[in-house]
Amino acid sequence: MFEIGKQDEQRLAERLRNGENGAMREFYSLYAEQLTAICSRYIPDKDDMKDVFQESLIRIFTHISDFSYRGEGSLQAWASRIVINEALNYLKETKRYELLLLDDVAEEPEDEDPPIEEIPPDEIQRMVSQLPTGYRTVFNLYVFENKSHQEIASLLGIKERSSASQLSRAKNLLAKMIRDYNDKHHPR
Amino acid sequence: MKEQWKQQMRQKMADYREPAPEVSWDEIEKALAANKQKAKTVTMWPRRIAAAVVVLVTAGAGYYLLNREQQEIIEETAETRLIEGTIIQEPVIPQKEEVSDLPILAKAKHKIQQAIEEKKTEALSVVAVVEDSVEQLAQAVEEQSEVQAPESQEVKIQAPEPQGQLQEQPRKSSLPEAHPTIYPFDFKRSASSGKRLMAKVYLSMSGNFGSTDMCYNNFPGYSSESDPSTDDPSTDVPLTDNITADTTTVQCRGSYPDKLSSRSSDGNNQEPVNENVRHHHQPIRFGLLLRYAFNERWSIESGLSYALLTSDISLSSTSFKAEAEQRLSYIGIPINVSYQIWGSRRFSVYASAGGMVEKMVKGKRYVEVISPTKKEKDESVSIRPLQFSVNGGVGAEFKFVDWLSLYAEPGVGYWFDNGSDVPTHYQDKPFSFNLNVGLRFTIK
Repeated sequence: MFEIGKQDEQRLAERLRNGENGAMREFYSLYAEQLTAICSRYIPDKDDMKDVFQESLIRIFTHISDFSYRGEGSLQAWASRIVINEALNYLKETKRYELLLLDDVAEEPEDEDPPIEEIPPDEIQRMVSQLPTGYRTVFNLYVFENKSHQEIASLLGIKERSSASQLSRAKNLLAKMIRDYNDKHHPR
Repeated sequence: MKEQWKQQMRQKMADYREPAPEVSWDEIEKALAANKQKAKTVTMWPRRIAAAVVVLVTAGAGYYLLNREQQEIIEETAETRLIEGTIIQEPVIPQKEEVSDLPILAKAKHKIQQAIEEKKTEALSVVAVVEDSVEQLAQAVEEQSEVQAPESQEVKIQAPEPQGQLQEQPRKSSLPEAHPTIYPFDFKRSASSGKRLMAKVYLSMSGNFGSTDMCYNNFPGYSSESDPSTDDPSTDVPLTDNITADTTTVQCRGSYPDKLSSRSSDGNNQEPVNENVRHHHQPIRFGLLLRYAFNERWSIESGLSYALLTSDISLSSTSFKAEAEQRLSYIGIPINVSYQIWGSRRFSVYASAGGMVEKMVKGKRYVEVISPTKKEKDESVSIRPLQFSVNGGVGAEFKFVDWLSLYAEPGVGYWFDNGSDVPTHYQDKPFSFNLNVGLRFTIK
């Protein structure tokens, strides 16, 4: 696993800014896998994800001058935000009405939070990717990006109420998958 | 969902990695280079526009002043002297006359020609002086930068034969022909016309002109307000389109990813995931313009225009299908400079060029989702940035009465990319053919 120190992160950003040889490839070798994981959480389709990922890299490299170092991990956090934004733009452009359709979905009473200790991350990733587009997007933003329903609504151009109802449905679908997994792998 | 569960989930996935896809470094470097260039171009534009305006205004004003002056000077000097038959005397041609009036020169030559014919038999020296003066005039004609009457250059009064015989043939044949070409520079009548204001109402239609279209794969478009750091100036994919008489179609296959895959996977026959088809109808433009004429030839006009842009957009993918009808209203302020090329009492032909700034004031989109479930939706569309355009063309005008005329102005226009994601005729067909037809009212 790559770990990057504070000095290195700052220096890498500086080298990217100066257009130094090899800086982009170094960035790729350090961050690409994590960014890929985030990107494919929003866009499970491999081909689409690849396109959005490449576009994200271009965006990162062309806007590196906007980045300001704010402590360890800030470069990665900044890059992740760009990836997420690119993914959201892609979804809004191609799946807009799939997102809008979910405006009418009523909120469901939420199931209990299922235990996830025993579930490996790649399994969680797979489960999330199986959620319908709207559910998945709202779930990702709410859980992993810690966004409020108000923020999600404005990001996706949907009603705040719809964000809540989609989250509840996403959560219930996911809870069911988690329960099934637990039953299968760790029967009590 | 409890906060604790949420945090647990986040922690679990915090370090999760997936094998990264291969990226095309060539494409990335190309995009970076293009981005640098784009940034340069963008910063250059305001200066260029400012420069163009300055040049236009200066040239216009200069030309106007020059013409007024010329008229006085030339009529007083060269013309009068020559007309009086004082050909032996070298005509005084002030420096300014290098851009002098062709008709006057032609007239002068005509006089010279007549005079020469009369004095054919006179001494050789006299004719030589005539030749001198005519050549000076001819030179002045040659120095006319733009509208040169080709025939007039041939009007070289030949050096006389030792016998004193002049070759009349070239003069006779070419001089009369020179007149029609020269006409546009005839300012003589402008003295009587003076300045006046005209109001103009027009109805305009524009259609596609270019063979390539900018296709912004942003169906159905957002005014990118989300995050200024990430709103992406859309990369465009030029595609050929189908042009029909009254509608223009942009067909964009494989929506957003297309801009990448079309580059990276050239030649690969990929199954299109999304199909985004746009039919942009010809924009209809109404205007109310005030025209200010400097003189009979030059005028400037400005006012308000209203344009309605309608488009039919359809989006389909394997699991999804929707149709949308988009109507965008623009209010614009055009500024045009026009120059009358030819005119009679009833009819005139002119060239005009100018620019326009437009703002989308009202945008509606009616969306009908066909599958997976039927759903209808009205939504509003907003385009915040202003829309700039430049245009140029030739117009013909028919005067019913002094204050009312009918005109048609075909031309071309270019609509600058305003960075908006909303698919519009302007964005998809930045270079398009225009036809303005309408009525022009003249207020004296």
